[in-house]
Amino acid sequence: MLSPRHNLSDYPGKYRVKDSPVHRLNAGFKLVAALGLTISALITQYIPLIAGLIVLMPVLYFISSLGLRDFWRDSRFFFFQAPLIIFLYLLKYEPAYALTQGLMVACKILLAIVPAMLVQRTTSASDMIQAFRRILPDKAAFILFTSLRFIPLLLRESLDIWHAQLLRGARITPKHLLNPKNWKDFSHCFILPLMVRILAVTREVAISAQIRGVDTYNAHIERMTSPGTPQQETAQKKEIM
Amino acid sequence: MNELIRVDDFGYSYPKSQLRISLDESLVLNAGEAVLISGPTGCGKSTLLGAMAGTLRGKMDGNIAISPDLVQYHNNMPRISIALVLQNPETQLLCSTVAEEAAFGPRNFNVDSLEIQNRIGKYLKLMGLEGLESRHVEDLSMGQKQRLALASVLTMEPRVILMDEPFSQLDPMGRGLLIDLMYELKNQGRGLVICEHTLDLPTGLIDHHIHMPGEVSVTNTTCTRSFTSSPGMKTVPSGDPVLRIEHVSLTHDGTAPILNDISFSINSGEKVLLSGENGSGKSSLLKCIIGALRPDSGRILINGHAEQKPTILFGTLGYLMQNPERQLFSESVYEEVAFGLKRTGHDQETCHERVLGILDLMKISDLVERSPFTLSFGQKHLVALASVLAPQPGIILLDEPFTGLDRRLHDHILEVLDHITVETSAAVMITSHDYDLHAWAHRQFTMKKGSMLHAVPSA
Repeated sequence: MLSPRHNLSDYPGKYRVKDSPVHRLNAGFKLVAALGLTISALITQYIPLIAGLIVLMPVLYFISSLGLRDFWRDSRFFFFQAPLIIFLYLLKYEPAYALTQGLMVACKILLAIVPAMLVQRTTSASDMIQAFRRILPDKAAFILFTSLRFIPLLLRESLDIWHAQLLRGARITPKHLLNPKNWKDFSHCFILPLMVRILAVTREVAISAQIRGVDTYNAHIERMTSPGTPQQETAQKKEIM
Repeated sequence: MNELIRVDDFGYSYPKSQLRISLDESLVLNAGEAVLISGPTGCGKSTLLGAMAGTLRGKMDGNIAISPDLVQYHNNMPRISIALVLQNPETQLLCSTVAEEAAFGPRNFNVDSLEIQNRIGKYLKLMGLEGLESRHVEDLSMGQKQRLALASVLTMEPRVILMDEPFSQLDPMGRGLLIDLMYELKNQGRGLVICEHTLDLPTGLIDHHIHMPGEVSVTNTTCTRSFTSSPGMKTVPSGDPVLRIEHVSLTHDGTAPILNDISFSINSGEKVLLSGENGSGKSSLLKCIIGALRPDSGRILINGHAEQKPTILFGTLGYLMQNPERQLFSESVYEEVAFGLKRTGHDQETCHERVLGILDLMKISDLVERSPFTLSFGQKHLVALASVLAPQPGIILLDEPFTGLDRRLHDHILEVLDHITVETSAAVMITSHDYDLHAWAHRQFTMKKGSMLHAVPSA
C-alpha cells in the first residue's frame, strides 16, 4: 500500500504543461521511440548499453524541461523492486551472480517503464488519443486513454475504501494478509466494494463521453425524433407543437 | 413558446431490483426556461435526466418528445443538442488539462479550432476558471472540477442543459456563480432542467417545478425538530477531551499548505461542525485524524494517545466517508451492521441486540434481510451509517454526510446523531460546506485555505 504521505494528485507519469523540444515532438513518434527504447532495454545483455540508457533517461527529462522531482517520482519504484529481485535471486544463486543478475533485471524493468512515463509526461490527452487512433480503432483508443487517465482516481478510491474498512475492523493490512484466513476479508471488504465502485465510475465515464460526442450517433435520436427528410421533420415538429 | 422537450407518463423499472419510478405529471421545457425536479432521495430524478439525455438503458414507459430543433448535424451524423452534467465531477473530466477538457466536446463535433478557442475563453471566464487553462485537472479543487465539468459541456453550446444536483459539491461562492450562470443561460434562450433536493433557489430562476414522489426510502421518518432555525450555538459539554489537534500542518511537495498550524480539541458528547469552502482542507484534516495522511508537523491525540493507525483506532473511532455506500459489501443489511460488532469481540446476543437497536433507531428495521446492493441511494447511506455507529465508537467523523440526500433524510441523520451523543457520550464531527448546520452543533470551526479562521463559540 502507498505511504500515508503519498500525494495521489501528483502521480508518476502526470502530464506537465511545458514547451520543450520533446513536448513538441509528434505523439506517434514518441510512442514508437519509447517502444524502441523499451524493447532495446529488455533484449540487450550488453551492460554498457544498459548503463548508457540509464544515463540517457535523466538527460531526456532535462531536455523535456522536467525537474528532478518528476524523474524521481517516475523512477523511485526501482529502489523497492531492485532489493526484492536481488533477494529472489539470492534464494537460488550464488551472492555475486545474484547481485549482478538481479541488478541487471531491475535496471531493465526501470528502462522499460521510464520511457512510457516520459511520453505521458510530455504528451497531452488529445495528442495521445490521436496517436492511439492511428494504430487502434477509435473506441479502443479512447478506452485505452481513459484507462490511463482514471488510474489516479481509482487509486484514491481504493485507499479511501481500504482505510474506511480498516476502521470497521477488516483484517486487510499487509501483515494481516500473511495469514490466508484473512484473504476472505480482503476479497469481501476491499475487492468487492472496489469492483462495485469501478463499475460505477466506468458507467459515469461512458455517459460523460457519450454526451460529449464519443460515439456520437445513438439510438436515442432515432427513438425520440426519427430525423429524416425536411418534410418529415416539419411534420414531426407540428406534432410536437 | 418554443417547446424543446416534453415528457408524458414516464415510468421506469430498474433491472434486477424491486424499484420502480414514475412521473405522474407532464414535464414541458420551453426555450429560455428552467424546470426544477425535486423529490426525496431515490425517487428517480437522475434516472429521468438520463432518459431525457438518451443515456438510460432498458425499457421505459411513456413518451419523451424532443423538438427537431434540437437535432444538429455534424458530418451528416445527427446529434441532439442536449448536455448532461452529472453529480460527480471527477468522473466527467476525461482529459489532462483544463483547456483540453473544455475543448474535448466541440473537437469531437469537428467545430472549427478558432471557434473552439473562442468558446474556451468565453466559458472558462464565465465559470471563474480564467487563467487556469494549462492547469492539470487533478490539481483543481472539487468546486473547480464541478465548474469545469459544466464549462466543458457549455463549450458544445447545447440548447438544453440537464444538471444533476449541480449545487451538491459547491460552496456558497460557487453556488452564487452557478445561479448567475443559470440566469445567463436562460437569457440566451437555452432550456435548463435542474434536479435538486433544496428548494431555496431564487424564485425568478425556476419557471416550472415538478415534484417526484417516488419511493419513500425510510419508513415513517418524520423529523420532530428543525436543525436550521435555532439561533446561535449551545453550551459546549464539559466532558473529557477525546480528540486533541496540536499545531498540525500538512503540505504536499511543491504545493501550498493543505493544513496550516491547526489546533483545537473536542470533548466527549460534543457536536462539532467543521465548515469551509471547497478545498479548504476539511477532508484532509479528517484523513490525518484517521491516520490515512501523516502531518508534516504537530500531533493528534485520540483519548490521550498519539498513535494514529486505522487498525489501532478501530472501535474507538467511527468514520463515514463521502459516498458511504462505497463501504458496503455484505449479503444482508444485518450482516453489514453486525460486521464491526463481531470484530470488536461482542458475543452473539449483544451483537443481535445492538444491530436491531441501531436499525430501529435509523428506522430501517424493515430492510434487515435485504441485500445492501439492492437498496436506494438514501437507504444505502443509512445502512452505512448504522454500520459505523453500531460498535458505539467514542469519536464519530462524518465527511460531507449529506451529499445527495434530501432534507428529510438530512434531518433524520442529525436526529440520530443527537440521540447517539446523549446515549453514548460520543463526540461527533461533521465536515460540510453548508453553514446552516450551525444550529445543530455545539461549536463550529471554519477553515479557509488550510487555516482555521475561527471557532464559534471559542473553546
